[in-house]
Amino acid sequence: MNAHAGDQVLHHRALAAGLYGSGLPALQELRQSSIAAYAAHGLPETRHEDWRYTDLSVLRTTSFQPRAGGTLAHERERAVLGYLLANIGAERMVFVNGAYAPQVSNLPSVPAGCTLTTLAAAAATHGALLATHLGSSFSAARHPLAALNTALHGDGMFLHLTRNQALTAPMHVACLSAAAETPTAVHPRLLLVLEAGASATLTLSFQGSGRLHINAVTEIVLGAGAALDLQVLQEDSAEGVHTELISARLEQSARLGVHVAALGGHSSRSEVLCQLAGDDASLSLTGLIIGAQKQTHDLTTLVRHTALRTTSQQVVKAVLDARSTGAYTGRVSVATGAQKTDAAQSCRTLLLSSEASMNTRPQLEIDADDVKCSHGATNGQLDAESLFYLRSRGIPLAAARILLTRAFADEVIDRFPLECVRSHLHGRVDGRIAPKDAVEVTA
Amino acid sequence: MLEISGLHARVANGAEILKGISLTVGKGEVHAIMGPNGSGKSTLAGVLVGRDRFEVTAGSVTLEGADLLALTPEERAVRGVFLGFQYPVEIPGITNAYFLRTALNSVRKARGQTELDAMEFLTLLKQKARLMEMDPSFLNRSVNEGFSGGEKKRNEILQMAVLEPRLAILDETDSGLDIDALKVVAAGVNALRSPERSVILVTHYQRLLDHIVPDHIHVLAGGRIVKSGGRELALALEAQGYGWIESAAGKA
Repeated sequence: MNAHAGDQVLHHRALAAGLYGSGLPALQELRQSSIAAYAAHGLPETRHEDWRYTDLSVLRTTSFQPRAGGTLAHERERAVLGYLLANIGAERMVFVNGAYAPQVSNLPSVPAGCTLTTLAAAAATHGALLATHLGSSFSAARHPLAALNTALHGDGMFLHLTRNQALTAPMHVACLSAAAETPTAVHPRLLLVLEAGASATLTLSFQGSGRLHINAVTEIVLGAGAALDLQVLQEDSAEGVHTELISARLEQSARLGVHVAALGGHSSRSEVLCQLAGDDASLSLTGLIIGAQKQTHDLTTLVRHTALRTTSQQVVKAVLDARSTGAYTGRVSVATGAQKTDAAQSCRTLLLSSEASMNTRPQLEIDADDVKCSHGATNGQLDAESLFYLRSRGIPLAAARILLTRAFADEVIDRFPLECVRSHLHGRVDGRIAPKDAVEVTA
Repeated sequence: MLEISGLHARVANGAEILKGISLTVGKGEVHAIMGPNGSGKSTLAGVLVGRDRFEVTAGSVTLEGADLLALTPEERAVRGVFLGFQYPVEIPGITNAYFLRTALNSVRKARGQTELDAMEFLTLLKQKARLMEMDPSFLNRSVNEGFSGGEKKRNEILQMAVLEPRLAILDETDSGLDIDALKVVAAGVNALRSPERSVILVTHYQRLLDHIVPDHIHVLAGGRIVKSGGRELALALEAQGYGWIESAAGKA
């Protein structure tokens, strides 16, 4: 370990010492081991195959530091919440720069025995659950940024649904962030534990402004027959970096829907790890990537089929304009004995500019013989004849381009479970909703 | 209405296809442009609606006095030009109804007219669909996606009915149609004939002209109009083919 890395460890230890969980030895140990894992492995580099298309260079040259949580400036509060929440639902949990903001949150009541609260509060009441599940679903060595989150996350959301219980209304978790004058790091964290037969629908949104590194981790534990739909609306700061890990483990017949819309950030990476550990478990994954200017978006998935008759379906579409770059790496591994696995993935890209580019990599590792695995990828441009057809009917060129772009994106937008999110995404694709309306958060 | 004068056009940076076409189409008239394959029929239609793969090298086209060639395809549509496509395009993900409403409202907006709301439009569309004997379920399907050849052509005429053009150019509307479909399409076009609407029928075969009777027929060969006449010209072509006209034109 060189002197710089040593300084960094000391710095991280000092930061972690001030965070929640001091009364929970398991969490203390987890933070320390995560600091060590991050120090040992450091920021992933593009020469690493798994990180080839993620541009983290700014994290190397700039120091992003956590800051104390802010509150929303009053005049922005209504606008931002209006933008985000008007239709998504009244029930919400808002974090500003990673700190829980109770004044703009509105937690629903949950069934008896269930818990919906902050991680900091849960550390006091549900220490055993946190100790069992936090950081348990991924390898810190393989996911150093997620390890950094484990080490430094200041708070987050904790949801625990007991057997057969449900969140009756969709719940919205909003992560609003604003950089200070210096570059700012935020580590949002969610832990969702659904016991057998429990169910919930969640929307997780990220909005921010300024020079931010948003480094989020969501861990999902689904018991037998549990069902979760998670929609992720990533509209982070155009000047920032967004890195995110969603890591899930599914028991028998559990069902997970993960629907990710990557729109924000100068550079973004969303990674989904999912282990289908119980027979008949299923994953439905949707990816919508929208790239403008010089954005880079990387969507990486690893689905591990380790039981009988598990299914995964991944449908990804990218719309890339200007000089933006997209990447989709879909890795499916089928373990020995995971017979009757059904894994399908498709990735289609619309390139709106000759300078935009997409990298699509399906990766199949199959160690069972009775499985069905398919993948397909296409890259294309707006069809000239279709454009002419629309124009010949009086639709102006710009509107015709939007119409065809929307038609392309609709297939994945329609997979998002909530109408309000679909309508919002339509607005983003149409250009009716400008990103600047979204990201101006003042803390 | 439409005045084509000394029109020369080529495929962009390619061979010249139209070699001096002059044609006047009066208000309410139906003109048929016939000719063998490669004579320039579809090029003429393409130039009139502003396909950018063609380049006009000489001549002029005016619509009610305005320079048509200076306009974009969408501006031509606003002026009342309509092309019935030989090969209508399939557009997955956009319903027929949404497409047509967007088109109609784009045109109305550009003309300074009020746009139709969803209910007003639907009422209009259903009425027009009845005219074309189209099942209303077509309106909620993606534009032309999975339509049979006949359904696509009927859909073209439905669009014409909704947009109510002043100049409709129907490019090989009869191609790929069986006789029943042809009759339906022809009936739709006939229903749209009016003293205010001119029609140019581009066709290889005369059988369409049994059902849509034109006022004038022009035979195109080698990029020029080599013969013009009335209905009897079509019958002569049907009986004798294009050879005699082409060779007569070659001698002239």
